[in-house]
Amino acid sequence: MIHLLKQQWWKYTAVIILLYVLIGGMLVPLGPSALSLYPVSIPSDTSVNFTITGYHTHFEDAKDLQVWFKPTTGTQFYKADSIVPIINSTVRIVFHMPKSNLANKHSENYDLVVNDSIDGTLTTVYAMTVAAGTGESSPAVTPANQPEVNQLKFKAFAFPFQKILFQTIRNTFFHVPMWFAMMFLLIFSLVYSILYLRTGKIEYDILASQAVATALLFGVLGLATGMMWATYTWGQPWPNDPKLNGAAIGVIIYLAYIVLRGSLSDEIQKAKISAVYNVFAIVIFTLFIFVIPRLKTVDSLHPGNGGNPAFGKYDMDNHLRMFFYPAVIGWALLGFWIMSVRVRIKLLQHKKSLL
Amino acid sequence: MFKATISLFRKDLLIEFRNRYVLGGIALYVLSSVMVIYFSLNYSDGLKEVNPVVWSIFFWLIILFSSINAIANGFFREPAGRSYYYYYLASPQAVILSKLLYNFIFTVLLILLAFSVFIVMIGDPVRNLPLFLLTALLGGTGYSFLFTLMGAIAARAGNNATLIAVLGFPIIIPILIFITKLSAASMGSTEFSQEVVTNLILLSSFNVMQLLLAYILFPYIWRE
Repeated sequence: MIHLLKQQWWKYTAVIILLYVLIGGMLVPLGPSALSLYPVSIPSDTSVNFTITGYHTHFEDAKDLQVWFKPTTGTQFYKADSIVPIINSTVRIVFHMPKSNLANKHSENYDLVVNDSIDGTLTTVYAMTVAAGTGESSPAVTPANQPEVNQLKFKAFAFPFQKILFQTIRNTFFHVPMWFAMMFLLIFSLVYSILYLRTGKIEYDILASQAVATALLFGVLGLATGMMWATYTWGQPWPNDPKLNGAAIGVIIYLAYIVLRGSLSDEIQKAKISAVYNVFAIVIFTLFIFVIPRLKTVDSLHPGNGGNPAFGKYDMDNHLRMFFYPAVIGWALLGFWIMSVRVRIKLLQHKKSLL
Repeated sequence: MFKATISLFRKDLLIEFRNRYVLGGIALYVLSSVMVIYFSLNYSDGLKEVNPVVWSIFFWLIILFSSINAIANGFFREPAGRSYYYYYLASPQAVILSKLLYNFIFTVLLILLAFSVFIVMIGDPVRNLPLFLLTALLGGTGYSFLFTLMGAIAARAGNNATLIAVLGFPIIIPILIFITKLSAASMGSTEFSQEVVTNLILLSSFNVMQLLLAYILFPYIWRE
């Protein structure tokens, strides 16, 4: 293993992959989205001027812009009365909804569907509400059917636009791979702790302990990137989230490992006892990460928990995956690189102490 | 090995009864902790509205601190050289099993003592006594097994009492989550609901896992 750690090729691979992830992940633009609609609540039978604001949209460049409203619970599409693109990100429309189209309801929620040949079909659910007025209804309008709106896709290379994530979706290439790298390093350390207990070679203890130290670095970075992300998406850096608390306790468990090693002076005893604690710690850590969050007391805010869609189901598209999987490999390789440097320093110190 | 375990266990018991001031000290520790809680609740007018969750958190925190003290004492009172003597007499498995058995019985007695003091001074909100006693048994097992292994590790690191807390507290949190939930459930209703059964199974499997780990790993700590 130490021979492999000294080799160069996988370090160059790590540099190339990380450069690809950093440059590509930062430069690829976000896809278009219809950001907001104003006003959000209108009376029936009145022609209202709406302003639609888009993000990275091409309302002006695309000559075939169409705007529709669709009842959130229905399948009919109502076309806007007039559509005037102002600039690429702003369009003014006029729309009215007769009372007779509300089918005796007090109010109805409508989704906004914007459609053009460059941006594709952009949908905003619950975009606005129409409240039934008290006066006479104007003549009912005939809704168009689904086929008139062609489900176009945005063709250029872009990351998906998520309503609460915006540009922070790029944190996927930093926050998530940190935990992967940490887990890889901890599993590596577990393997070498067990090997140490079976053989008693001091090199194995050095590998195991330095893997834990590097894993701690990635754990702290994972918490830091997660807290930054949480500030922008969940509104506070430390919400009561079982996964977050589990990760924090995991970091504390491994800090105790470092304290334990520091409090033992004899080399052999230090190696042996910290290996025992490491085996114990990884069992508890796995319990914290995989079992405790699944006890249904507090649902995690993370994707894939408590009714939140998992990454890969809606959020992860092929453009993200092109950077996410390399990011996991790249950060893990960087972790092993940092570990290999630490291991080599410790090995030299150990050799010097034997002289 | 069974005989060795039993005689080591008897030896621990004998030492305990010959040094009765240690036993009395732990009992007094529990008593004075409950007094501290009683007075802080009483003088902040909180005693009128002690709800079951607060009750069980206080209760299990007192058990946590007194059992960590008791178990640390059990490890630290023996001089390091004597372990060599046991090494010639018995297998490491027998040593750890006797320690686990001894600490388990000690912790359960501690829990019963604290429970009776709590009933007298702070109140008895328990409605499902069998469930509470089962929780006490399993929780005592969890506490004693964990602190026995951590105590064995800390005893090797120059009898550093802080180390047991540093190593043990992050790991005790899953057990603490299970038992505070279970004891709060034993105060809520007299039924054994599905969630209670799940928590009981999880707590017992956690204890079995601790027992296995202690049994497998202790020989490595033991041998020098």
